[in-house]
Amino acid sequence: MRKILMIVLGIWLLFNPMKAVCSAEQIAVIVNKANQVSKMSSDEVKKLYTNDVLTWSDGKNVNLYDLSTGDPARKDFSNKVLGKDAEKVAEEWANKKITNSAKNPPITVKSSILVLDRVGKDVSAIGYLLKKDVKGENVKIIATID
Amino acid sequence: MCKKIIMYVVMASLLVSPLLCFAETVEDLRKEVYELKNRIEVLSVEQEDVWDKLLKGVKVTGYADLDYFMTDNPGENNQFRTHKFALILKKKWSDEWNFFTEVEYEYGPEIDATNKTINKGEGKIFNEIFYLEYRPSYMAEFRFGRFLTPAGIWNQEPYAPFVPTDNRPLHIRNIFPQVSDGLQIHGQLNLGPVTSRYNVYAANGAGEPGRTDSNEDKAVGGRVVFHLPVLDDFNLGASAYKGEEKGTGDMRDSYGLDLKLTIKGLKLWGEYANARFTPKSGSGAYDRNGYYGQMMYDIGKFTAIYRYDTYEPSSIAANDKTTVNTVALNYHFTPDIVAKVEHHLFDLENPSSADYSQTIFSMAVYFGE
Repeated sequence: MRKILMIVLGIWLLFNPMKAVCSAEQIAVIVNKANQVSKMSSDEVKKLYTNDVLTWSDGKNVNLYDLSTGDPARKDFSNKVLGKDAEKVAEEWANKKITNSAKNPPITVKSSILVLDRVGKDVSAIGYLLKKDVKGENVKIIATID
Repeated sequence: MCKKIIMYVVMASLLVSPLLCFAETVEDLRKEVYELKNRIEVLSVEQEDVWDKLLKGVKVTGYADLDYFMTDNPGENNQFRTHKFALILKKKWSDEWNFFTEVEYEYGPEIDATNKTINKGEGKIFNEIFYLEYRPSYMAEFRFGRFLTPAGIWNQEPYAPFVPTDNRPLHIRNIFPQVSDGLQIHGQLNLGPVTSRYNVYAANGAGEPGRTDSNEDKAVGGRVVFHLPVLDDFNLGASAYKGEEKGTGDMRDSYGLDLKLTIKGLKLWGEYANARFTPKSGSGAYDRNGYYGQMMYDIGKFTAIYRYDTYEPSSIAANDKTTVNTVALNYHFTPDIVAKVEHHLFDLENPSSADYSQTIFSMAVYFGE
């Protein structure tokens, strides 16, 4: 009996979802200071990152910035805003790219410094990073994800 | 006494003040180093971008699928299979213009005229996709060339690293043609909270690739998918096609419905499709149809799959229906590398044919951007 319990426990441990531990850090969604948008809901951000919405209200294309799948901010953003693990989201984008059906895929950059740099230089850009890492005059926070 | 104290205070301040200055200098230096490091990071990426622009290269991606195939079906052997290797090339000149092509090598073909190896390994090389695309707006994009026929889910997303099983449902490619040579317009429209995607196309027709179109009539088709803001993900699609068949001249009228939804870790896919083949003259019209329902459940890096799949090639032929029950398990090492094991039980309606099973162990990799 004990052996069976051990096997069941072993299988459960093997299959137990390795959910990314969401950090207590707040995520800030940022745009360029010259962008007309001043506030966005989490759902509106999701629509941009899933390509359900492809342009800003003035008709300009949205330039999406993403962090690499190993970045804690990316893990949090994927789970809290997109409702999926970062790896699943990456897999879905890869599938869209291989079928050339990705309308406006996010540009993945290596660090939050680069997100700040790119968004600070591009009026049509949007990105996210840990709120404590937001610095500089050229960007503004339009949403905070707890 | 007071003088002494003042002396001590002056001495102490003289001693400590350089340290304080030093501490401030260290802090400043740290900040400077941090900012310099960030600047270097930004510059190195900018340099990579400049190289990209200078090279103006064609992006090369692709995938490979290798498997071990086991069956108890008489006449088939258990075997290792170099199943698929595909090279995908994309050239983007601007946001408006791009060229996209896929060349697929199935079962590692060898072509050697001297030794007449054309049938060796029964492999094939197929230029599956091959088009020029112009995108003036997301609402209307134009594709000219060869494309996967916009029909259902599986026909447009057939790639081994991203589908749960090596074997596809039986009706796929039999109701709608796999590829079409022609002109396609596709786009995305937002209707309130609903996102809709559409494709309309005119093409040579089924089995008419390259320059072998055997008739003047062109096939026409279309597809629409509605992405509704319910559950975690909910997509409802419909496809249609009308075209003359090569050789027989029969008219093929196909339609299909599909559903793709996600609730937390559970994904459900379903497709139904029917084609009516009508002879140019006389009787003998018949229907061909098939459908499948597939459940996929993500458990960490694992995905467990069950699929029920059925296909009937002809409504006027007796006992030609096949039903397949499939169970499978995927393990995703990374988003680009997956290992799969799948077991299929084939149930044949024809009493003179024995039911059989297949088990496939496979590895699929995507070499992406």
